[in-house]
Amino acid sequence: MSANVPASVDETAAFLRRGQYVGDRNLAVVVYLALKLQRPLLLEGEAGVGKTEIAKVLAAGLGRKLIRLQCHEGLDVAAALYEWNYLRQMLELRMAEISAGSTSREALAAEIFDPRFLIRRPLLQALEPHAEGPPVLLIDEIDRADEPFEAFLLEILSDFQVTVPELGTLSAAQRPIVIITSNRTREIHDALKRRCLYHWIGYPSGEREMQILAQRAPEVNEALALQVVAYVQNLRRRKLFKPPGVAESLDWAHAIVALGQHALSASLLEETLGVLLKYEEDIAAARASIDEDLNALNLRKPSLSR
Amino acid sequence: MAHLSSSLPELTRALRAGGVKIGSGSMLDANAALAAVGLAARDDVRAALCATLIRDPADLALFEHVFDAFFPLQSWTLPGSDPLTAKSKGLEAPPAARRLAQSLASRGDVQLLRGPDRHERIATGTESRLERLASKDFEQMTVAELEAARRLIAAAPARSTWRRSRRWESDSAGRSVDLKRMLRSRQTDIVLFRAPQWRPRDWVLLIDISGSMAVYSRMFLHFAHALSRGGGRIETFVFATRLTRVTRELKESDPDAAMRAVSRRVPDWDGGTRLGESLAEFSRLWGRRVLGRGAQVLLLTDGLERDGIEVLDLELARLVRSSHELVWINPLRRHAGYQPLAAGAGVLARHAHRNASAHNLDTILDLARMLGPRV
Ligand SMILES: Nc1ncnc2c1ncn2[C@@H]1O[C@H](COP(=O)(O)OP(=O)(O)O)[C@@H](O)[C@H]1O
Ligand SMILES: [Mg+2]
Repeated sequence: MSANVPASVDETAAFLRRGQYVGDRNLAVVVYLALKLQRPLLLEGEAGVGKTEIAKVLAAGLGRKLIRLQCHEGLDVAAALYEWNYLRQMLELRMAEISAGSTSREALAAEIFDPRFLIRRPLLQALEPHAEGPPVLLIDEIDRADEPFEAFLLEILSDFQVTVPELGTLSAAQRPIVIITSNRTREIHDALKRRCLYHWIGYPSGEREMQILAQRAPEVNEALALQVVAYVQNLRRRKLFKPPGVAESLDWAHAIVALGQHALSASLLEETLGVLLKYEEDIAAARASIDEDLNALNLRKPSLSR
Repeated sequence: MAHLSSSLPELTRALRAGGVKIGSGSMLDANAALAAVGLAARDDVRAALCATLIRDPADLALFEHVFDAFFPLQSWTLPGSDPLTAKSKGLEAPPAARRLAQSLASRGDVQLLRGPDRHERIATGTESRLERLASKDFEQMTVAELEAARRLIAAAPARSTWRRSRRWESDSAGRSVDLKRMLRSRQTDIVLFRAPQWRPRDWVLLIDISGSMAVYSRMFLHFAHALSRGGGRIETFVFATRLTRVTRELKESDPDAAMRAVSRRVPDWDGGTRLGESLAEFSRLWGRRVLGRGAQVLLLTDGLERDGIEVLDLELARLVRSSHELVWINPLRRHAGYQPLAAGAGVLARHAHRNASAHNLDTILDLARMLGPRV
């Protein structure tokens, strides 16, 4: 039960809103273009700003399968595309040799390179036909993979076909919707970037972050949400090693509600800063100015303009 | 807006002049994107062009600026107005825009250096001038000479050295059996081998920006900027009394903007030095994160350490243990017959694998060559 693909920028904006994704007009434009021009979309931004979420919202809203390739150092073709099940092949080979000594080597070889010994990894899955329509292929955190992997990916994204030497060429009847994300811990190769439409996602403005909280953490009342957002936005202006993302704001707001609290206080901050900040140095820095920061929140109404 | 797509080449030319890399493919994409979103809404047009022409957040500010200059808000709704006529206005503010206006003027020196051929330089009669510039101590240079030197550094070609990676490729001289390929070649009696692949080595730059280093550290930062723009993994830190990471700031494509971003980030320009303490801070906060894969460490300092030598000794030993190679770059080497007699310098000389200087163009460009692949 595949839903209709949005047919304009306005429809795309509405589509994202329905998926409870709070984005700006620019995002609606690039998502629409990616769908319309059938081009991969490269999303870059700090961790926790909602890159991965876009792929999820797309798949859910369109009723398509989400196929995720999580990148890491040393990721290779075997883990990304396909791999032969060598152990089973070896076993098969040995068994055949034992039982029917007469079978020719060639016949045996043909037999062991049978699709049933093929392990399909995400990229291959994405090229296969799917009943509900072309899947959403999420290539997540490409910056963690090694550079040669990008060259390989570039090939696949150029013609959406792969050659398995033993089986022949497989090509996608319909192109998957491709979302690539990067936290930008390193530069992505130009050639790959040129294959894609590009969009940078920054931290949201205070206003937008309030909307995200309203969507994704409705049990947090508005007064508390305002304090949370103002405090987090303030933290992002400081020189932290890893400033909190939207994901952290949400986690933090959830944690505060779970503790039965309705407003920020010094003791609450002491207890829960670890939810917001991941590095000791950052926590120490934030802890050092708790009173000051709380005062600032209380004295003037938090400024939520960008 | 009938003229909009015809002014695309103008707009891309302006962006290119500002240092944005735009291929002809991107222009086709931009056209296709405009056809898809239509020309009615200025914001949509801007987003469509941005998604197809810009691929680096450091270029976003420049894009906004150029777009606004070409297509001012007021002109959007005026029927029949040609956005192109608007482009002569504007372009006053930030460095990117200034550079846009100037970038095509006086590129002479840069091109000279890029030209591989020394004869060409002789033929144009500029060799001696260039040669003189190249060997002149930065400290002796005029503002104009420093500016020329900066542009030459920006064009310096630097390539990476290599390290073994965790990935494998088939190699008859390899030591590990390539089971996968044996099966693929449909035979199991000839044993095939594989060996690890090689990757560009990571670099870590540690730059002393204390008072005694003034000009040299600034010029070296330009070199760091050129390296950072060239791909490969490079981490840059500056320190005087405390350590600051400036890797991100140096990603900015405009060198002026990058330097400004660095200055804004750094609390203690031209302060005293605490070399040992700064290295301790580096190893505590960053060591494991950035040295993990056998990085080559370039340490720029004159070694005039104020604090305890024991800490320095300890930290240098740690640094040497966890990196592939430590190169000590010391501008004091410009003095003939320099000896590392100061206590800090003595310790540095003992630990460093290699020494270099970086007090003029020649030595910085030598460094770029030295970092090239060694077999
Ligand atoms: N604009 C947004 N609208 C709705 N939810 C968001 C938005 N940005 C972030 N989130 C929330 O933050 C969480 C983290 O986002 P994620 O996509 O994992 O970040 P990234 O991939 O950029 O690291 C998601 O689970 C999502 O709920
Ligand atoms: Mg993610």
